[in-house]
Amino acid sequence: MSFEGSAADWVAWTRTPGHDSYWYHREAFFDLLPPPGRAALEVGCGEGRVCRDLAARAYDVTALDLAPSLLAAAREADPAGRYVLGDAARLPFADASFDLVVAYNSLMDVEDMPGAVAEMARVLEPGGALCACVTHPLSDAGRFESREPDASFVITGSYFGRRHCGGTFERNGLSLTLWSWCYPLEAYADALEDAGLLIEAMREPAPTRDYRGYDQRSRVPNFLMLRASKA
Amino acid sequence: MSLQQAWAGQAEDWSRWARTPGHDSYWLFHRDRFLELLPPPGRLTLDLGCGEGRLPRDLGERGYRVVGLDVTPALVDLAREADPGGEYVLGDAAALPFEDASFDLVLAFMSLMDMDDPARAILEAARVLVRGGRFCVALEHPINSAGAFVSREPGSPFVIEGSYLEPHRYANAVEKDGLQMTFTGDHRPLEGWFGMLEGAGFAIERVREIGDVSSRRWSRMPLFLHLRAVKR
Repeated sequence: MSFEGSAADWVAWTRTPGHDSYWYHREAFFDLLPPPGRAALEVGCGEGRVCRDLAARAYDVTALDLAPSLLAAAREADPAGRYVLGDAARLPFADASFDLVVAYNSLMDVEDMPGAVAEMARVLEPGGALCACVTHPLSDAGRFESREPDASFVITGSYFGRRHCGGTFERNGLSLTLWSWCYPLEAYADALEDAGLLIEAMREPAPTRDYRGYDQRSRVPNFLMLRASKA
Repeated sequence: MSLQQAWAGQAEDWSRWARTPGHDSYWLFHRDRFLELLPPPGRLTLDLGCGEGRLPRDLGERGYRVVGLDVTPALVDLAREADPGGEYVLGDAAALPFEDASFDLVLAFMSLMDMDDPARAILEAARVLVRGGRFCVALEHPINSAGAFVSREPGSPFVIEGSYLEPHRYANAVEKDGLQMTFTGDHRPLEGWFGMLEGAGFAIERVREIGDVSSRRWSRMPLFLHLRAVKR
């Protein structure tokens, strides 16, 4: 799945500080990472905000995306960065090229999620880590009944199986249409197991308190984050 | 009341519930799904929270040499009575009466959420395992213990009214086919369980989410969570 069709909307959405959930969850994700090492790869970098934040934290990052216009936006914002056009299912890198692979909200957006995880494992050196953030499988399965802080979270369909999730989001005059795949936890875990990766850590962070949806999202989290290592 | 006291009060109801063939999910699918998670029989297996002993008895028939441990005296007595050749120990999972590296497999089948100090029990499981040994766990799935179906209708919504992330105690009184049982335990989110395993030096190699394919409701939602962890 490529974001090429909605690239301009996405750049506006992501580059407005405080606009979306990223700003209120990113520190929890960076806490999960191993310290900066030899070479990191970000798969599905989009317009590049995670990659720029990693570089600011002293990681030596190469970033990859499938959408040319997002990659162009990433290069423009970070002329010194290394940005590569490519497919997560066929990473254009030799085996064991990296000691860290980051997939921040991108595993739901690839057509072949297990294939992408296998590729991430291939380009990791032994002992290297894959750190991923995905939309939380529980959150994907249902929705809050209203905007009230104590609104019930309701699941009317099935938690299991691969499902198409998404829609058009409007906020503060910005609009974004996102469609991606949703999976139960077991599907991600199976992909990691099949790729020879062991889960070392898992987090379900509540957002920071300044997030407008804090009351609901400190009850049912937006994201699930994990670190898995290659044996 | 501690969880230990709650379960001591449920010992009779539990043994009737567990020993009526076909009565609960153990007989229908849960035992077989858990057996799929286990490595083949090795040197010595420890079952934490064995209760009246149905799992150690079934594992014994399948070639595992098992030590069953439980903190409730009445349940350990029942386990010994049903399996005089078996090895059953009265003891606390949070202070195991075994040497370091005594076992190559430790099990906790539907017992960690019923313990007062599961973090300590998981540290103890790591201590008594050899390096490379496996810790296989079945839990009430955290999504299950966070909410409930609003009705018994097949299409009933599943609703979380409170918090999934906040740990809390539950006590579910169930009556089925004339048998009664109150399941008392502590809800924790996934992060709670994974955090305890991480803190004890385990890495998780397999995760399974178990529904009930024969149920219109529970084929949509996970009942149980299975984890296989390796001591590194």
